[in-house]
Amino acid sequence: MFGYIKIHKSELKVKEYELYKGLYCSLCKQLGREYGFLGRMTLNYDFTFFLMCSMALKENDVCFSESHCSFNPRKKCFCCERDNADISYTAAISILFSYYKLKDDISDNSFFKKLPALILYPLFRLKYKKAMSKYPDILEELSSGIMRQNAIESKPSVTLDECADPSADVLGKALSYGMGENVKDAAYSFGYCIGRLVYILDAADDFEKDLKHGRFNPFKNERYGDDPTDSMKAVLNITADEAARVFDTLPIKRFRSIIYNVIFYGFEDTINGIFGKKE
Amino acid sequence: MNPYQVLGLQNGADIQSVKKAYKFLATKYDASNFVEGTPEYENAKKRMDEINNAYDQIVENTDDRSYSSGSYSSGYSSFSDIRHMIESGRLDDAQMLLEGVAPGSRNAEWYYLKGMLMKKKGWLEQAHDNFEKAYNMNPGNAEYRSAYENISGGNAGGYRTSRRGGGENRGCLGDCSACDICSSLLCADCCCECMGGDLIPCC
Repeated sequence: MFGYIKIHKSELKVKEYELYKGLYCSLCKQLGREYGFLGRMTLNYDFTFFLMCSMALKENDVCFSESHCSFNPRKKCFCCERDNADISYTAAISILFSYYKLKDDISDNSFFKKLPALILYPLFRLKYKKAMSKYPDILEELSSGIMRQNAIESKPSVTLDECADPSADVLGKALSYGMGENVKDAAYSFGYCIGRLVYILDAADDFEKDLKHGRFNPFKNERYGDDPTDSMKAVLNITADEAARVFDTLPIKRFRSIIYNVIFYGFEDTINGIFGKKE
Repeated sequence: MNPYQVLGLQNGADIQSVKKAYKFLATKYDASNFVEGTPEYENAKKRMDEINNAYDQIVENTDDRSYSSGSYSSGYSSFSDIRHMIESGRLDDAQMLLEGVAPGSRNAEWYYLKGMLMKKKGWLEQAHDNFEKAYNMNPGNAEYRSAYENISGGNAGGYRTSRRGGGENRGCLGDCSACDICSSLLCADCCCECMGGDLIPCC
């Protein structure tokens, strides 16, 4: 589920790229401060994007200052100030998703493949509990949403829209949490579109693997026939377009051009990457 | 208010241009282009009402009623309450009512509304199927057609590509002005002259 939300670097200005990297560093530091080294391991670009979106829709300003990377002391980076509520919230979300990903790995693979997950699981459970104690209400809700995802996939003859709904809903809720009343609905729709897109990207990417191992995949449906590639492309494009349309109506305060870059260029790269791999 | 002004036309413009202007504005301010609850959405809704009223006024006065059934406003439709619910965001209620309609009496509008509901929910594949059905059942209806074209344009990533071609284009061609072309030609000419040739003979 991770790694599908990327920037298209060559279309970014240097200052935009620096900002984006700054958010990445800030999230990394926050994860380190709150959840230790294990927390840092969950860092990825998807949550950087999530952080960027939630900051972009908030009223309060974001301050950056120069600081040093904890892994490479010679490297300088821009970092947000400590105790930023959005970064702390994103860190908790990141722990939550990684915890469920680990849980998913344990139930899925053969013994040797799931061994690392088995070792990490008890450690992550502690981090998960810590995150839970910080944002109990929303994380509880998101957890039940993730559970709903597993339940829906075991239902017979389920449509793609139904399959994508729980994941999309989870991201919509996660993004709209703590937003002002006037942007809440817009944030939910945007999160919904992004979540849906990521789910479908993941399904399209894993299609062949799932087919081989006899696992569930929403594209394994008579609606799509034997070769669902064209349907995949069509539905991905429809979804990305919808995300772009919603993006146009968002009351964004900052980082507009970076989010624009992800939606209008990054997703295209990802879609092309998935189908390029297959051909 | 003068209905012609609302549509951005001269007084007494002919019915063809009225239809054209109406269609353009109605697509622009279509509720599905906006996110509910934002000021833009409210604004669009208000504009849409104005546009609909203006159009109805003009059509009534010119005695050309053939098009009014294709109007985006659906005052006479059988599902107007459901449509209203969808537009005001009461999706669950609308879905219940829609599902309650007997399969026998599900007409093009039913499928269109179902599509609209699905689109609002973010279930785009089903929205596509329903819009397609509505369009196939009644290809003459401008509303169904534009909804269907809108969503199938997405099949090829149409919205993103067209949006990208516009305002925020920062590609190399986007920054190339007439001045750039001239100065490049002059440079090329200078280079040619150094080598003994000539690109622009007059200078």
